[in-house]
Amino acid sequence: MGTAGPALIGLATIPFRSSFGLAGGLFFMMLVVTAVAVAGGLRPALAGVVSSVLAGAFFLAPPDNSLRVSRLGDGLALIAFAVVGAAVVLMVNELARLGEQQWTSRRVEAALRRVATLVALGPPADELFAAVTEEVGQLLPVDFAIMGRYESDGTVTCVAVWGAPVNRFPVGSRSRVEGKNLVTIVHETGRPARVDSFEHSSGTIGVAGRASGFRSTVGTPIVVEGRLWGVMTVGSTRLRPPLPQSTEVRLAQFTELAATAVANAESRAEIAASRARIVTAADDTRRRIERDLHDGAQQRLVSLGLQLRAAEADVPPALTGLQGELSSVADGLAILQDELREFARGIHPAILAEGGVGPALKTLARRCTLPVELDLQAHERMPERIEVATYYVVSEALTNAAKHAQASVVRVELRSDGGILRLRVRDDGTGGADPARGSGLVGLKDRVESVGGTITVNSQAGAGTSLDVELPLGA
Amino acid sequence: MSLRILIVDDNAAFLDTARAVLERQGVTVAGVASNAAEALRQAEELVLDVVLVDIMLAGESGFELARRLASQTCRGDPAVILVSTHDEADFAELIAECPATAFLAKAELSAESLRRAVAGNRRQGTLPP
Repeated sequence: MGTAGPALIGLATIPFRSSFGLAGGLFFMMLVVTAVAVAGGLRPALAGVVSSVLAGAFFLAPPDNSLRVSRLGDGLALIAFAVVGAAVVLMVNELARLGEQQWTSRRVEAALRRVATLVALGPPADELFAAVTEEVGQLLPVDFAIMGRYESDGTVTCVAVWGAPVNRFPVGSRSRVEGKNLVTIVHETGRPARVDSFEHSSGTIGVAGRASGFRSTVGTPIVVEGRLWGVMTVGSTRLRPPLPQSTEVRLAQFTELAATAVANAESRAEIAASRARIVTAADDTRRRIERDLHDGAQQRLVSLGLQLRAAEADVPPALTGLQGELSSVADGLAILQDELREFARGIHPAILAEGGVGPALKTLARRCTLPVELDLQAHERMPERIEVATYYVVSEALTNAAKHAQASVVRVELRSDGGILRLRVRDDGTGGADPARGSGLVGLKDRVESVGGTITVNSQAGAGTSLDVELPLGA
Repeated sequence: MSLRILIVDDNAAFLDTARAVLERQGVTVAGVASNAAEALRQAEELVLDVVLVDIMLAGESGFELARRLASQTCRGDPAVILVSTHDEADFAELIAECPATAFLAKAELSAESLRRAVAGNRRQGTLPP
């Protein structure tokens, strides 16, 4: 096109060349050369300049049909055309290169921004790994991208895969980190690595990679808080030039984000586990104190009371003074027993362990100063921490409704549904409870979240308070 | 005629006290047991009017024992009475579901209260199924 275009224009202008002249012909040729530079690239456009000059000399500049140019002006015009044409072609080419560069960096930035946003949202790990791997695969000139996690037992697990020939590396599959291949090199060095041919690779991964037709590949380490966590690998399976030198740097930008996400997830898991431990430890302590009180002090008090009553019965009727004294001590003991029982009940509800959530909630409802409507659709026993959480949520909600909400009735609904226990407590009181401004609600949030659940409080002024809790039964 | 009873409780001190106090009041304590298996065996062998069952036996449920005693054919067809240091209200739901004759707080335990519990329920014939 670059060569033929100007030549064709030269031929096409032959019938009109007396009125058209060399200048007119060169003008059209310049248009063609510019178009070729924009569309076809540097080499064809430069070839077009050369062919334009030759065609101009041959067809348009007298003597016709000869490369000789008799007039000085025509010669200068052709030289000027060659210089200007070459300059235009080079400029167009440079512009195109800059444009391309900018386009690429915009794409990179957009991809990085998407991944960073996702990292900040903290989605489930597998979802995030898949997203990062896909972004990398689509951004770089590669045919596949695989993210692996190094395990402590000397294997590497595929956590995300993108691209065509990856049936030998399905998500969740484990391979030994052995032999010499991209994954083992990154594991040994902890640095980015490049393998431009899998022909000499060994080990499970080397063999599988060769069978998958891996050619030029690059891998970068995923380092989480100074510890080598995994590896991101990309590569081609078709015959093309080796991956560009920029691949390692590009890839590292993404693995850094992935590492941040992993670190975030690990911190979150640690916090959740520690919170669960704290809540469990507190519950265990309370249960133990209640148990100790029951088995120890309370039992002993009961025995003393029984003995005292028996002794009282044996006092001769004449000793009325002594009988009265014994009687008042026995009464005092009875009051002490009541107080201790009340105290123990506040520490831990014995009925929960004995009868489960249903009887425990019914007991709470009966004790509440407000009328309580119970709708219990979960009858089987549940994990203890779920039962305890449920009990405390209802207990706190009933207390709040009775004390602060000026409610006239409270409704408690409990149903278990597909491995999730749903609890709703609604009152018809004044509303306006603010969980942020300290109250039992904050403690409930800690308790509910410590067992992996969620709690939502709706308490608009005048609209009553409703508390929705979801607790996972399986976890 | 004195009541013949079996006391089931995992607390040895309470067993001693209850036996001493009740016997002084004219109740015949025919046996004591500290766990469910022992209680079931004795309930089968002895002729009893009442079995006192502590709600919270170590590692076992007194309610469950009461259920098994109620379904087991015993000589004398004893009344099963639940006892506890807890309040009746603390376990009201479970007590209501349990086929026991009555509930007595341990502090209220006496020959008189036992008789009343047995007589009251016998008269009204409210033995739950």
